[in-house]
Amino acid sequence: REDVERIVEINESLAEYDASGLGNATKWKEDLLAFANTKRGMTLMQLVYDPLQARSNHSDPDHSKGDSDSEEELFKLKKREAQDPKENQRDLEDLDAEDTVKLEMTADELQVWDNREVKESIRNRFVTGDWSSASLRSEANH
Amino acid sequence: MAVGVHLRGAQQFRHRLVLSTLTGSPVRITEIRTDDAAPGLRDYEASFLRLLEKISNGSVVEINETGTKLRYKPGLLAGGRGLVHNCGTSRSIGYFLEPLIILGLFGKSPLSITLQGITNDSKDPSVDTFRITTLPMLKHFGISIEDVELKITTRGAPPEAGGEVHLKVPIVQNGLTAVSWIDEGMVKRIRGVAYSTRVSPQMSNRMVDSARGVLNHFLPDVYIFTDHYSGQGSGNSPGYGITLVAETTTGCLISAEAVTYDVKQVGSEKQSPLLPEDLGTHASRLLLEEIKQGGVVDSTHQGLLFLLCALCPEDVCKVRVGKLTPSAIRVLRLIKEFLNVQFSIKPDPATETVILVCVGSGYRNLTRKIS
Repeated sequence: REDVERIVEINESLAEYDASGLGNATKWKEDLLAFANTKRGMTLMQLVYDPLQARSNHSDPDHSKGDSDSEEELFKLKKREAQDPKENQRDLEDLDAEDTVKLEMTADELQVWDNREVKESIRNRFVTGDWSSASLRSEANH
Repeated sequence: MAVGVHLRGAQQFRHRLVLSTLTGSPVRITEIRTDDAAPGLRDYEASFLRLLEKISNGSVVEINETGTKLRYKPGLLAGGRGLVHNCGTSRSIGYFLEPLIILGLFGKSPLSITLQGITNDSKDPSVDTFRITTLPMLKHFGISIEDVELKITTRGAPPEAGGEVHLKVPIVQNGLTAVSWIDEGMVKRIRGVAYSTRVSPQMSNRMVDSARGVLNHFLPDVYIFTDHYSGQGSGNSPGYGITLVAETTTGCLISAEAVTYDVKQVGSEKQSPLLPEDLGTHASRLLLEEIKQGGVVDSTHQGLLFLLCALCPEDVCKVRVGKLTPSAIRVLRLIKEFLNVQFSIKPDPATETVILVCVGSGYRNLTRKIS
């Protein structure tokens, strides 16, 4: 019975090691690298001022689908899925995006602020926080 | 009519027309919601066009039958006193206020206008946000803040509206002042307004309590005014909401707001209005999110900030903002199109913010000189 317990213990520690240790970190880095290579081969400048390149970077399945549709049936209404208005607003290339300057966030998205660590992460942005770290921050600006 | 700039789709309708008016270049917008079940211009967009006609002389608007095509030839910005505009009930007054402020600054005479409609809704910044955040922001660009005024006479909650505000904007005499505005500072106090209309005044207190519950964790100096409307000043529908603003040591104002949605708006699914406690928490968490972003303005004001920078004299403007919003990115593209000002945009990895630098277009208030 002791053996079984030990095996369970080892397994657990292994799992823990994987979750917090190197194994996972390298995977995370890989993901990030892939993300950087495929989606962001571009700088912020390009993202803003070069919309054509931004469009060619992620393939446009909607567009090709629309073309084949019009070939098949002449009088078919262009399909326009009932888009979430929020999605609609965030899609940079949508011609008819909602004209609003407000970026709505749902209560679920804001749920993270229940977390103590998340709260502590902005502690030094307040005068009640650590002033020296804030001055470091503003020094880095110059 | 000269063809001018050709644009497609309904996006950034207000910014396009504002820039067209300021630069005096006619625009042609096609494919306005052509794929939509209800194609063409919306009634609030038509209302905005009427507003443009009110504050300018000699502008020409042509719209085709379905409303999917629009030609607009801007006139001279006249400004004027005693104007009244009914904003309707499909979008709130906030939709009209932002373009009005910019246009008002470059008119022939100071603008003084009464706007009727919805004062607070979830789609556009509320009139409170304009009063306590947007207008003080103009100070950084050398506009004397004493002459800018926004008075809320009546609250109007959706859907029946009935609100009324009065806006006064001075004209800029010698152009704006270029800014170097990159130090966002630390939050030193939080202020706010909790309003309620046609409901129990207790609603405001409940919102304030829950907002303080979140914010006092960071700062003791939190004061939220309660603003209750009843009788004549209360508009036609019940509603309540809260606007918060964080003031930093360097004078930056970061705002966030939350407002009840109208029960009918949700459609067939009947949802009860949000509890005041939830609204208070929501608004304060939004404010924390904005503070975390770490710009000199909040996400709502990015577009306006860039526009003002681009309208500065030919001098270097440098500003820091948080993550760029889609709307702000579209504004940056429009600025390049109309004013030929391109920002240099650099991320600052140490603080996870973005620094934008531009040379202003040297825009001058030409209408004023003619007079």
